[in-house]
Amino acid sequence: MPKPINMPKLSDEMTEGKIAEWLKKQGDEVKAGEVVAQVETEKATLDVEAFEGGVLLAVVVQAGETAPVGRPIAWIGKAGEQVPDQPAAPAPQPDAAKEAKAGGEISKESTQPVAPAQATPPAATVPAPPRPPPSAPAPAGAGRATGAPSPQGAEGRGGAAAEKPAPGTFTGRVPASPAARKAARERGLDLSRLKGSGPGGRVVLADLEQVPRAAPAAAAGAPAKKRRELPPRRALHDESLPLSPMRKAIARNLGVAKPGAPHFYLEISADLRRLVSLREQLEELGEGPVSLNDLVLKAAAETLTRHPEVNAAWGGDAILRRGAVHVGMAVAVEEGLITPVLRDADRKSVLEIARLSRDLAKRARDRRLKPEEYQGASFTVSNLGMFGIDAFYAIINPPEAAILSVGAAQKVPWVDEATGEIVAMERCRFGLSGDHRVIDGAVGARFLQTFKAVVESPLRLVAAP
Amino acid sequence: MPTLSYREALNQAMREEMARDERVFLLGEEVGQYNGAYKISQGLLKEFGPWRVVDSPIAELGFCGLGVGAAMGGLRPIVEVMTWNFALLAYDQIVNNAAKLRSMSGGQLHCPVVFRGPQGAAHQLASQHSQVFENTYAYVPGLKVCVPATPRDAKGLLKTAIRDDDPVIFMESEVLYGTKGEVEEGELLIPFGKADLVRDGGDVTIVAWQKMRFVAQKAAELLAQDGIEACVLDPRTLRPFDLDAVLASVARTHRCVIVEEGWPWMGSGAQIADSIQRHAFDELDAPVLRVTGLDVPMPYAKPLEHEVLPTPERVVEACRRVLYRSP
Repeated sequence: MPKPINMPKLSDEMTEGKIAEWLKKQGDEVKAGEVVAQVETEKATLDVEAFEGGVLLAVVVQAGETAPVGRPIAWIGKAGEQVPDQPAAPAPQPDAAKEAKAGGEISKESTQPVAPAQATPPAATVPAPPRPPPSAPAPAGAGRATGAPSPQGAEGRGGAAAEKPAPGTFTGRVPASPAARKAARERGLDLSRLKGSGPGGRVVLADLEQVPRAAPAAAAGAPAKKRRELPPRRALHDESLPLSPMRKAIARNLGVAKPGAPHFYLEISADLRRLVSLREQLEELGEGPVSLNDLVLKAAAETLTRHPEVNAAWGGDAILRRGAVHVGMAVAVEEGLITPVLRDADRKSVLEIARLSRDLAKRARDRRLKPEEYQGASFTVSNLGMFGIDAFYAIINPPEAAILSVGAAQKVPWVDEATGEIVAMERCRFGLSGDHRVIDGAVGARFLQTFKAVVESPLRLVAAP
Repeated sequence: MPTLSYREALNQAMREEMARDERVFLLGEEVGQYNGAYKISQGLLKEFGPWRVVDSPIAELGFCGLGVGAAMGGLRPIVEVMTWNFALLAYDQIVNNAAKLRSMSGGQLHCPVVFRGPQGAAHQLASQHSQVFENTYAYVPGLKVCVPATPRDAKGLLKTAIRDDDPVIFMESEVLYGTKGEVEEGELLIPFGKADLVRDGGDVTIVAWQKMRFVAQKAAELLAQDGIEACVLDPRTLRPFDLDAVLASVARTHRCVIVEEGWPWMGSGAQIADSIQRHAFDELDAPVLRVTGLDVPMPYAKPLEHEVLPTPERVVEACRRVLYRSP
């Protein structure tokens, strides 16, 4: 008895699909679960699997042609079997109907006509009433409930129960594993936008891993609700706290810098879209997490190689240009802050910087940095973006000539220069505090100009120098 | 640590417990003069005498009933059944009496008896001598069911079973009797309901017990060659069952394959799969699959017997399927 392969319903709105390509041709042997064709919908191209093994007896809908959901696109069976010449496709038995029978075992091999799909394609989306249970129970253990036809049960030769969703198990919901649903919920992803690689187009965890973690929830159209939790109220006391060694050092150094170094402040804002996209692509390499800050550190190093006058320090009676780019990154720790140094950051790859910055930050918080790991920076980057700070101006880390302060990456209304339209654009504001004894405003401005260009064309950061 | 066979481990457990508590005695066909049909009671008659090691006639219903009565009367019998296939005759005594006494007497009576013996396929014993009945007993409230795979678990669980104040079904296997493993000397008590982590891994959870533990281990080795790290858990007792260990592993791997020697329909794996879907629904990335013996009476022919029993290859295939990595 030949079985139809029906046009699957791959999303809520889908009423018809176009065959993009047949991967099997008439007469080919097909294994259960094998992908036989690809179907194009408005959103994606998805695989169609055979749920039965056998021979592809006939291709009804050719590549490039369109068919309504539920209509047979091909027939599968034993070699030489006759294919019904008119496509009386039984509409698939909706899951909902099966679920309505919770607890009752229903054979999944439903070939009960429910509604002739081709008559009114949308009918296929209406859950049919559940089938009455079979009047006579199947022989005990005959494996009907698991869809295994032979008495050896679902767990027969195959080793495990073969899962056979009825051809095109479509209920208007995206087939997805519970774990994938949960993960999608947590990450605010829209399942219908994902390509499911499991049987019947089921979205599984592995498919979610294809989506870069940074994918903004907005893209999924369902931003997760933000809970705004405030820190708890606490009792206030008059008290005098002794200074920790770290607090003393911060007071000493910055006390020198702020009255000592005449600060000037500049700010520039940059389009972050490409940087965000680059970050996502870098993460897809599977070499470990890469943060926007890692890319900013690398961009700062790249910019410094083009502005050696900023890669400098105040020497009291001289200006000390530095012969290497050592970028310090300010890390907030339990009792203050510390700036571990990425040595020769201009010569390290982004992935190296990502690994190193993570390691340094962790050891900074664990107070396990060696002195040579937090001394000798030629320039410092300080990031308060994670606190949602729009922009700020950091105090220079003496004796360095300047410090870069990084605000939060956020979507702002912006006039897109290319189109003149106001768009929601992901941008970030960068501040530069400079020591006027070492550099002048124009020098700092040129530095920021270059920095912005690097951030907006970030391929430079991964292209070989 | 000394190496013992599974057989010696059981013998040691009984010897230690009989020496420790004179209420413990052994009863069954061939346990005395013949030193046990499978030589599990080797030397016990000589050491403890005919009051403590009692040969019974071939009458399962009778001697299992005797065990139940002795337990009610204050003794702590170990009843050896030659195989669980024959103990079907005693199912009435075990289910209607042993399992019910505590409840039906309002707690006034209890029944500290251990029924032990081999089950499952050995080598070409055909349909009537190759059956797996663990689920038949685990189904009954009031019974505890042990299914040890290793000599160490055999000893530690049997000692715990003998000291338990309720009836315990203790299932062994002819093909395991000769297997060897390290076993601590003296006091070794393994609590019921604590799974053994046979192998750790984060990709897929495999639950398997008794002989299937070794099938699962082999499957895990095959999977490891392809970089798939399986977590193999041996529950060791089916009732009580260490569901927490299974759920914790599934929370990590998001998938589970259960391997059992017996038939698929209404097997123990079905209960485990149900518990997983109920308590860890949102963790599942794939349906829980079961690898079981085929749904047929065991054939006598050797190649057919091999076809019926779960193999590492079938377990590998099921694991690949729940990982969506079928070739």
